[in-house]
Amino acid sequence: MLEKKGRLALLIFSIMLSCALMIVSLGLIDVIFDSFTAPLKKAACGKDISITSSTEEPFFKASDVNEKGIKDLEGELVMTSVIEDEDEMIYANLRGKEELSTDMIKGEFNSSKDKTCVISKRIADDNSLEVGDYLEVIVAGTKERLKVSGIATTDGIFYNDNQSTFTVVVSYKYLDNLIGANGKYNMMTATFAKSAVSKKERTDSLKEFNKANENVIASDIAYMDAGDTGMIQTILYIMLGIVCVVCVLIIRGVFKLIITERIQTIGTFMSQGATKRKIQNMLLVESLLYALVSCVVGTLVGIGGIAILTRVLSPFAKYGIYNEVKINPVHILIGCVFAVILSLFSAWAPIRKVKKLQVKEVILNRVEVHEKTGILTRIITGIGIKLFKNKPTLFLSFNNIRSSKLLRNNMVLLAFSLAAVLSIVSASKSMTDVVVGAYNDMDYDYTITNIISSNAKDTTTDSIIKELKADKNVKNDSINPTYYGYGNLDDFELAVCGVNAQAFQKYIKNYIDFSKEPLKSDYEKFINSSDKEVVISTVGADKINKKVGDMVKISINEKTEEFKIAAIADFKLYNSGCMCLIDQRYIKEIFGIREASNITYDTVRANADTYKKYKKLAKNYGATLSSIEEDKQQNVENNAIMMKAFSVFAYIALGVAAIGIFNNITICFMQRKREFAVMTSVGMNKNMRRKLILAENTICAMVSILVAVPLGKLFNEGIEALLKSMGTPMDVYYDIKGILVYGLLVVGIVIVASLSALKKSKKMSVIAELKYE
Amino acid sequence: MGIIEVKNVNRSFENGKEVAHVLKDINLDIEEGEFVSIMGPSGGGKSTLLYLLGGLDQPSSGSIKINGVDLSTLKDKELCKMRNEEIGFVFQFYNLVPNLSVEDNIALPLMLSGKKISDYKDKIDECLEIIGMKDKRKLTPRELSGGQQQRVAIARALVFDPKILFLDEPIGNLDSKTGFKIMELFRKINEKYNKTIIQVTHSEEAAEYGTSLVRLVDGQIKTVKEVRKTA
Repeated sequence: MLEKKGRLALLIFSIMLSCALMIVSLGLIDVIFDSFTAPLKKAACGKDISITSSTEEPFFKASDVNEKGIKDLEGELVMTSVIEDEDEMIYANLRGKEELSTDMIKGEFNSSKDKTCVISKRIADDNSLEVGDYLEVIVAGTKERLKVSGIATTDGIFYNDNQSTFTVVVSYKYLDNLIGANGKYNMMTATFAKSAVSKKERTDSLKEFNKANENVIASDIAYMDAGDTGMIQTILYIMLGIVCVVCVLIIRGVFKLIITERIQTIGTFMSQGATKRKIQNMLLVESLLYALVSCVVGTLVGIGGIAILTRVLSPFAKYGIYNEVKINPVHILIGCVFAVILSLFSAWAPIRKVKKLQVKEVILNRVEVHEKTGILTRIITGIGIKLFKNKPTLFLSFNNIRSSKLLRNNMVLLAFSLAAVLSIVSASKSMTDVVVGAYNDMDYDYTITNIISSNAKDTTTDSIIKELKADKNVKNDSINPTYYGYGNLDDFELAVCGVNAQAFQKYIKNYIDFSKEPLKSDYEKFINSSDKEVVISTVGADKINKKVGDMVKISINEKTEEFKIAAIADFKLYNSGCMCLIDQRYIKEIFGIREASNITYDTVRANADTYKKYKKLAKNYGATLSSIEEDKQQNVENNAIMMKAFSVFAYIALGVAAIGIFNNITICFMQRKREFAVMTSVGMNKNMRRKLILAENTICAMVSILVAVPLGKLFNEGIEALLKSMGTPMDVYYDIKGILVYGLLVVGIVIVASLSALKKSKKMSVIAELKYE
Repeated sequence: MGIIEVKNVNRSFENGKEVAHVLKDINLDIEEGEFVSIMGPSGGGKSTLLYLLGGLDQPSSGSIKINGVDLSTLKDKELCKMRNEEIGFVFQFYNLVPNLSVEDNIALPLMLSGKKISDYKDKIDECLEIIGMKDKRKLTPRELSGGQQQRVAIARALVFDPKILFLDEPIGNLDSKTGFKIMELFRKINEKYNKTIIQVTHSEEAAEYGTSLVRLVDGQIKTVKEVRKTA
């Protein structure tokens, strides 16, 4: 009875899990989106878009803006300042406003020229500041002492405040005076003319506005590129697929058992006139009922999962502020429908076999279940039987595996889930190796990033480069600023990098092979060219079907320009291969990207002292310095986090398989109790019985490992193909150590799963099994 | 001293709050070479007595000796060794291992005692000869008739050349013609090889193949009498 209850629980658990995981997978992307966009929307105070200059002149007037498709235009001045701290960079974003509508807790907002400011309660508490205290900031290299005139609620524009980045509201007049804006703005915000617009309408409105405005560019305040999550979503579904395959195997196995045990009942029904079709329908309805019950539980678990993820991914969880849990009823419907289909599909295979039953045999209870043994099983067990003819435990074990469908099911479950785990582990290790290898190939010592935009004629990038060039320790020809713009190459979305071609080549020459023709001469021409030329990746060339010499259109922020393809290079995994190179002057002049995203450079000597020196240099400009070792480590850690997240599914699959195996081993023993009793009657003692149970299950584990190794290799090839199709080609190498570690884990799981059967074997009543009455 | 001695044996079973006293003060001596049939109505304790004699169960009180050895003094390992080498069991429903061949089913006791099968090839051949199934040695039980399966069970019981055979309704699942052939075989084993046989049976005809008849009613031995041997 307990065995039947356990089986039913396993069935419902498997269906419930697939329902819950589907709901979580569908909802996870929305949760990620919200964790990013919700704070931005709150901080935008109801505004949809931000407008900035797209020319070299950073300031503009309201009259310069063609308000096509927008309304409620509001201007301000923004300037990033830095707060001096020994250990880390703290950014204070100065917002020069004419008025402030946030609720004040203490004091007030002073719109005069005075050096006063309003901060949020969160920042005031974190830094123990009160009204009347002073906040010291470094703006464009000069120290400013701002008197706190008011403390506001941590809402609206202050919503995103945290210890390392926060908003400081000052009067527009003060900031105008400080940075010389001459009554103009460097940022304006507005709302869409049409309210409650869809994502597509927002994108179209932005395109329309940008087309109508040459000197300014608008961007969606709460924007997150869906492409960033596309890859995550694809991998999530693959992982979900792995768990579902395990669930299908379990559901199928359970239904097979149910039908076998119900043969007598089926016989009774047939004797009363029920057709085979009717019996199949009854079993399908039973499967449907299990699915419906499981869907209820699965929905609750799925909602719980979304709630937990929302909480965990809330960016201000530290402050006790959590994003709103949003449950999409469509996702729940999809999850439930998915679970129902999975249940019916899994149960159908064994139910279908009812059609083959001979009515007379069923009624007379003379049905014998003959399970086909696959050729691989026959070969492996055949070899085992021959080899161990004189070792009774092993001989009987191989024999039992050959004839027991349950034991073979265990092997399938284990092999499949182990192969999935091995594949993920291999992919993770390969990715780490690729990242480390790539950094080893890059020729630089330091990177400067987080370069704050300057509103002066000289950009911050230029100022930093000037200082670096003056440093004798810096190899001038290695100074490599990279300007990033995200746009299109014809229809292909990618990163457009504005570079100094020679410096970039020096930086990356060990990673990308410039020594081979035709790239060698093509790139030489690109370096010396004064025309608008572009170097594209092999991935890009395939996507847009163009070759060297062809013309392409590069678009960034609705600005489009034609370039000639100068060379095609295999960028491998650099920016996932989705990038192209143009001369840095074009990205500045045509597309208005004034500041570099990063500057890499090589030094004569790199040690702790030089690291300190360059860190201070970067800090003076509010930027961040990291060494190549730090970059390598950060990248490896980022990839590790991502792989850990995906490996959760593989471990879930292994966990579900373990539960299924436990159930199968127990049932297998229960079904063979009579056989064990017979063997006891001819001399098998308790010890031998235990050994037999352990031996057959351990052999199952070993065979599973043997099968999982080539199966994992197959999965690896699948991952390689998938990554290639996503434009991220990467070889996946087998992690041999992983086979040993996870192989032992599988053997451990099986031994633990056998404990129940061992316990039952100890208590088995031989007589009860042997007696016919 | 008989080969089997039963003294004051009682066996009770607990069924929830009730206690069923299945065997009451059983005293029985069986000599070597006897062919004893135990008969009685259903629920009388026949199979219970048989399994006690075979060491598959322990009495609630009393003693059972086989070859002078008190079974209650033996540990599980020793009991198993005894079942393996000194006694043989044949059941009503054959109880063959379905995924082993005829040959392997017969060799099962040898396997379990760790013996090399190759050393017992002649013995296995002899057993197959006795049951007349040499040409069917590679078949599995599924491919045999009821009578053939029972013969294989008999061969398995004989492979270690035990002194005692215990039979639990050996022809209960066979048609009468096949059944009597099996009983003939048992008689031959008893007379030619001097095996002591104890059988539980409902069939008067089967009982007539034995040398003595024990009637067990309500857990007590009512009569023990000699049976006239028929040709």
